[in-house]
Amino acid sequence: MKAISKNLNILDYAASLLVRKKYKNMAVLLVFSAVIFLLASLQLTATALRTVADDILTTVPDITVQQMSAGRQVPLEADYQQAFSGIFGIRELRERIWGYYFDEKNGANYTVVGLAPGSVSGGLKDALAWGRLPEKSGEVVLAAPVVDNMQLGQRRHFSLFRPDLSLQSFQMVGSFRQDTGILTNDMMLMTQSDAGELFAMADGQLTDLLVDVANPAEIDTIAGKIADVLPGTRVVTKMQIQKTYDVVFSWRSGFGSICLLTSVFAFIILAWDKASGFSPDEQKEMAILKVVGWQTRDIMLLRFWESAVVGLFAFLGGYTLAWIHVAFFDAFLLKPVMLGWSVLRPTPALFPPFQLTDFVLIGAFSIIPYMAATIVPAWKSGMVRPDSVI
Amino acid sequence: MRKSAFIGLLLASLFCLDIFIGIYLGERHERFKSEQEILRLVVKELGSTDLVVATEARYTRHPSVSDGLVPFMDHPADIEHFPSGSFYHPVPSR
Amino acid sequence: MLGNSWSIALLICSAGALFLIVLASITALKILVRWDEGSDSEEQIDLEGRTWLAAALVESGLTIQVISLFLLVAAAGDFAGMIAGAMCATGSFLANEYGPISLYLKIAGLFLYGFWIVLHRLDLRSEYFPLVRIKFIYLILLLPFLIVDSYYLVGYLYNLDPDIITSCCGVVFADQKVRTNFMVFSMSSEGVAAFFYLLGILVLFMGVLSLNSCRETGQPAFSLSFSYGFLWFVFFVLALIGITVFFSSYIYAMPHHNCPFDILHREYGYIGVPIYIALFGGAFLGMSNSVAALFRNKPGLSVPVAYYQRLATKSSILLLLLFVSLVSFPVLRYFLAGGEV
Repeated sequence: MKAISKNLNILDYAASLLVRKKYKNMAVLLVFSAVIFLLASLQLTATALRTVADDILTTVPDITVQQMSAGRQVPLEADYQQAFSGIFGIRELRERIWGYYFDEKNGANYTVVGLAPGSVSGGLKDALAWGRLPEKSGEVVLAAPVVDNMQLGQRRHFSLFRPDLSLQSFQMVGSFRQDTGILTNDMMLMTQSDAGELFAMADGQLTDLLVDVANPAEIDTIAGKIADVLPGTRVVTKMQIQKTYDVVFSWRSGFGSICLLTSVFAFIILAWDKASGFSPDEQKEMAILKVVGWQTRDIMLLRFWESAVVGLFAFLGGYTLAWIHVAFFDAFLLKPVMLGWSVLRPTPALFPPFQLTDFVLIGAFSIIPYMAATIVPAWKSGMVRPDSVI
Repeated sequence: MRKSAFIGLLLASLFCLDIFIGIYLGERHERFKSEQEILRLVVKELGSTDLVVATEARYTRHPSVSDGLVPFMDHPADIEHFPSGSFYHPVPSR
Repeated sequence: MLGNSWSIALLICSAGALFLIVLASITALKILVRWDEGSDSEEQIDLEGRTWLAAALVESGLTIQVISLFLLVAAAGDFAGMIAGAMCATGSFLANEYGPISLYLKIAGLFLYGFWIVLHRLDLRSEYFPLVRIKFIYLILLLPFLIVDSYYLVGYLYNLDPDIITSCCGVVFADQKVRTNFMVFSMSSEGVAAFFYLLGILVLFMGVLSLNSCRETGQPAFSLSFSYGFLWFVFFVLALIGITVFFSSYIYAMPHHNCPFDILHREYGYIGVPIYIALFGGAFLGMSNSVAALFRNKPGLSVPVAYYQRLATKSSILLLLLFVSLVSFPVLRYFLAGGEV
């Protein structure tokens, strides 16, 4: 009890010290919270995207097979059937044609996905805001942002260029629901043959092959076998896809952290400097405190509380701001980096749920170096010799 | 009021604000989870493998099934220049 | 994976702790060389002031160590998402040979720093500074320990490779052979549980005994408090094994889910947090009993040591009871109500 009330009294005193130098302390607080704000925004955005990926990408294809040549992906010839006949445990094979369409007019990239006839269940209709799925040649389902971007307005008919610059005309027969945007925002869904024609792929060529495996435990084995019978292919398993987002948002966001760390360290030098450069007035004050009976330990405690108050406010304030920034303003400061020069600017829904780990991580980034930097100056001010100052 | 109580109050209210945001976002996340059936269906039926976040480069639009990022990937002197590339980690080659 | 944000945070903690302990060691060296108790020269007064600095540095080092242990466990849980085959922290730790050692070193560090602080606090109670030499030699010895700790941490993080396939807790702790290798210990889960309770009762008995002897003679016998601390050490190790192979599966309500880390997660109501706090706190207080007992014959220390021992014994007994009831509750619930209610 006694210890608590002593600490509280010292905290009172520390607060009045802080208030006395309010502009200087405010400046430190602001810079520190800004640094923490940036760090936390980066971390929370990564968390949010990983959460969404973890939630949604549970039904990705078991195995995706792509043909590689000279280090890049090329169309897969459809004569794989024979090669696959020796592999047991495959439930279903789906051929897929998809790719990107670059819109010369405004520099946007669309993702064109071909829909094989009869390959979808009726349920997919629910993903449409209106209309129906493409059934015959020339029909296409577009995402709303694509419609906006192509400036279609109310028109339903438009044309796209094939690689040889001839025109292929389409009719829009439906549009994706807004809330499926995280998957469909840049999508043009058309029949498989239309997609093949748009990309000028020869008959029987595919972009990739989706393999459904009967027993999930066998995915890795079967993937290995496929890689054996189809040399030169890239075989991606479900597990690898699901782990992709953990990897994708870790190192480079770590790279971002390293850049931000520089600013953390710059700040810490500032903190060290501020804590150790006492004015003669301050020295005199500490000396008087010692004369009236304060111990070195008490003055260190005073100094500790001073920096703890600044540190805690900066940490909580910066973290809260970052949270608001990411969750309610869609991380608008990070978006230029995250989306880059994407012409199509989908707005991913970001809601990083509270994670104790994020909290502690940001704390470790900010408070620990700050604490380490202020101990020695605190001690030095506690060691003031009254007789030499007053 | 003593100053330490004021500081404590201020910190506590910041923390409360955090808790409220946390609860709100948790709720939104739960709601999002309940709406995911259709998203999972889209993933399954279309074989989607990636989220639409950055559409500027294929290794950030479809990081899990595209060619990994390599220098000079499209033409000589093609250096990675997309801003989103500094946010996305290149996926280990498969 | 040194560039991962978790790794960076852990490295910052390590660098911070190293920085503090290096400063403290320099201070300690100065004090050891020049300390002259009888003198009242300016230098001696300055050195006495420096003991404050060393204490504050080690105390902050301890704080950082606690945070970094938490971070390491959380990071390993997070790495599980990136490492093939790992589904929880166990898999991540086993991904290379540095992992488990790094974890053990972090836990050991917690105790080593804590004991130093106990010594320092005891030293302050006496007006003769009886422990100055001992505690500053001890402090200098902490530095190599911390360097080894950082070496293993960096080794673990550097060698962590997302493509290496590791196994998860379900496989690791269910397989008797692997279990034997991992724990250097072979016993059935029930055997561990029985031994756990037996030892728990023994610790309790010993604690009550030494409290009693406190009341009678004012100070427990050295052998009593020493064996109390030693029993706590054995109990601590056994409790960690017991949580892993026996109690955890009752908390998860899944017979084949044995993992010491998952109980820290939200799915299980963060129940692991109070469990581990009670266990670590109890073990620390219990073991520090023997450490304090070593110095009870130093000038001016017999009263503070006895006071500390009484306090530590009482609190460690309370924490022991709390810990045992926390881990036993799911087991009882299972046997009485037949499953999760």
